[in-house]
Amino acid sequence: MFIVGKEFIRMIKLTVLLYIICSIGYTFLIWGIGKIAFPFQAGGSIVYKNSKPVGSFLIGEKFTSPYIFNGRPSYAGNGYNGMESGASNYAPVNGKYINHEKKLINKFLKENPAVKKGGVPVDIITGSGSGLGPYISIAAALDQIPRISSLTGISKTILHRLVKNNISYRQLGIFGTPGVNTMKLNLKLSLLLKKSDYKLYKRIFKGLA
Amino acid sequence: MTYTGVLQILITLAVMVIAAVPLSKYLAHVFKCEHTFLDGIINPVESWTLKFLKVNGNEEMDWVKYLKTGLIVNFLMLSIVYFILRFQNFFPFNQMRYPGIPWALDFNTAISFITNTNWQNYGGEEVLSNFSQMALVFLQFTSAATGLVFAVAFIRGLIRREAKYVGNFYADFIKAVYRLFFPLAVIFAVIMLWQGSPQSIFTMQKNVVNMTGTKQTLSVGPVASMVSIENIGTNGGGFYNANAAQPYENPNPFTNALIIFMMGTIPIALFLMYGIMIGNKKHAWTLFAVAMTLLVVCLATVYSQEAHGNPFLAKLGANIRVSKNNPGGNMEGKQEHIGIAQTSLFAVATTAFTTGNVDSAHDSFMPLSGMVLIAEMMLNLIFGGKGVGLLNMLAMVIIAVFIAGLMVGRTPEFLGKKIEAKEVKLATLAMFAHAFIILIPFAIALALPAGLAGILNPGPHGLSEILYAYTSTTANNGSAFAGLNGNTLFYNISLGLTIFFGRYIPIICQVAIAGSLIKKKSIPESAGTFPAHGILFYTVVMGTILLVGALTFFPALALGPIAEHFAMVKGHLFY
Repeated sequence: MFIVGKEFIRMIKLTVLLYIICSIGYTFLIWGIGKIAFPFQAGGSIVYKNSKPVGSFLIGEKFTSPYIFNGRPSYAGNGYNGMESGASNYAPVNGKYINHEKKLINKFLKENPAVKKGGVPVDIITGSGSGLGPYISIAAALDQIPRISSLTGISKTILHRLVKNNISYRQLGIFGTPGVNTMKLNLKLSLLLKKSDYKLYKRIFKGLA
Repeated sequence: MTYTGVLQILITLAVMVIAAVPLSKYLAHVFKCEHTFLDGIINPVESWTLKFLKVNGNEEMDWVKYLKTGLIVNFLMLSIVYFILRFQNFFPFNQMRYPGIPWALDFNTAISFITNTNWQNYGGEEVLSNFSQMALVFLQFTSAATGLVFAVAFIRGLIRREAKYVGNFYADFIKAVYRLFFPLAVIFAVIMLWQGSPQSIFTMQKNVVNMTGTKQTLSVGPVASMVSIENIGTNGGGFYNANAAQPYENPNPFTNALIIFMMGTIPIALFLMYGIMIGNKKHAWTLFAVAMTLLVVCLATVYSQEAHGNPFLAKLGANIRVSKNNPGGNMEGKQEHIGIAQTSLFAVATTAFTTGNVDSAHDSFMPLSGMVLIAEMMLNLIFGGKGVGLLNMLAMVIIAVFIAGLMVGRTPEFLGKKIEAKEVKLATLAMFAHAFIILIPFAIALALPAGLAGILNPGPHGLSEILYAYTSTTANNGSAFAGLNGNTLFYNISLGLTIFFGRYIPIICQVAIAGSLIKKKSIPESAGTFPAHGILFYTVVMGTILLVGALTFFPALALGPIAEHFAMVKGHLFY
């Protein structure tokens, strides 16, 4: 064997040195840069309302109330659990999955009678890759307007404008697909509701009131 | 498929290739020990390190010593990390008081990260402390450097004539970390931070009360630093269970393209660096063309399948057609804002560049897309991971040259060196080892209740899940059909072993080829020399890849994804 003591010690020294540089040194260096230059992002881009943390625009929240814009189904824990990211992992030909989808589609059609069969936007009935994505398609947001309007009394035109003003377009005009961030959208919706129906606002947006 | 989709794919690919050209020149300078623009900063640090290690960079090693040193250093690094994960409750930065990782999972994880595989049988945010995640980051640097220096040793074996030594492992290793991975990791980590990846060390979670009044706990940690090196090093093991599908790891479509750029640029640059080092750029560009053709064909298949969507959902009343407001396609397990085009490119890139980071649920892809992803890892030479992709391609080239030699009845030559029985045997062994390590454990898993117990999806897709697992681990990729529950004793051990053998057997064979080639003298080119570039060479190499690939793996693919595809076309569901 060629590893005599001296050679072995050299290997251990290399291992320990690189551990210190690449694990401890590197992580703390980026941590320091984050503290100085990007404190908001480094902390998880947490948004505060009335000096209380309500979430992050990057991570979706479980919006199931019919009064607000609903997000995509989530398979992260029991839905939008920030500590258990994950997808459904269902295969497209899994019969159980298709039965489950049937229920989701019929539920969406029932809640939004203005939408015709064959017109349910595919993203609103399928889960995102992490179960934490806050985005829905523009169509999925527009399709929910009649329901929200009739329940909250906010006019369709105003809601329509709200959605249009909150579209996240392709980045740099190229990358991605246009969509709507439900966190931003519902936060804006809460402002409208606060003005028009304060009682309902307090009931729906418990975390803000 | 849409124009904007195709456009964003083409732009991402073009930027990668354009950036790879100067990077390849830089890398060639680094490994030929020539002057580079970073010398002023890095030379003092590097010479201090070599002095500290008592290494004389000019004292070169023969291939056996080079390989042995590399493998033992790998083993030491693996041991440290195994120990840290096993006893993470005694280390700092464990706000959640996560207990130590059970031995079988720890064995699987430590092997997985030292071999650049990053197969994850755990959900990062659910079981690992920040200190443990940082320990994995250490392996993400060193495993990438290991693959790279072995490729460099191989290239030296091709260039040098009637020589013995392939280089100094320590000097090469330090160069790879100091002059490539560390600076790039810092740059991209800062960009990821700016775009929204968290970076905290002492905090592991943030508690919030949502707008609607529900409590939500968000997982944070040293994410930006990990995302950067996991992709630059083509490691792929993310901080979170969902990897780059978790928005903190991949906040927006721009970062999605950036991550693809991080994965792909260095492997492409290594092909070109090889051309510069051997002094035959045409040869390298021909191999580049082979790999790029395969990449584009795979991409076209995946993108068209995913954009077409799931016919069963359309029948139930979902709108899967693309329109201005509706992304359409197969959206199960995909991020809406990132979209089908970027997601398809990401999936094809992560399996081509053996990164294994995912921004979507591969398990929910259409059957033929899933097949393409598996096939890419079976070939494992479409640019490939750090160094090993190039090594696999060169082993395949040796086989191709040998077959071409047989056809014309001449002793095959490659880059001025005679290819003889020893090299061909070693190249074939590397190729067969890869196939055997995938297919035999796959067959065993199918025969055992413990193997079948992990399946989530019924029918042929269940078979694909197991096939994907063994292919991904053997190819040191690390992505998964994540429906498969791999955190069992059977899978932790068997996948750990396939990772181990899948990494080291081919590498040992390939470095041995270098050791054999380096002794040979060079023969001058003659009229009968088979040129290692141009259309003929392209065709021979491509033909060999397709022939070998198809003969070896077609039966397994026919039983899984192909059967599933035809069942789907016929409208058949599996319960």
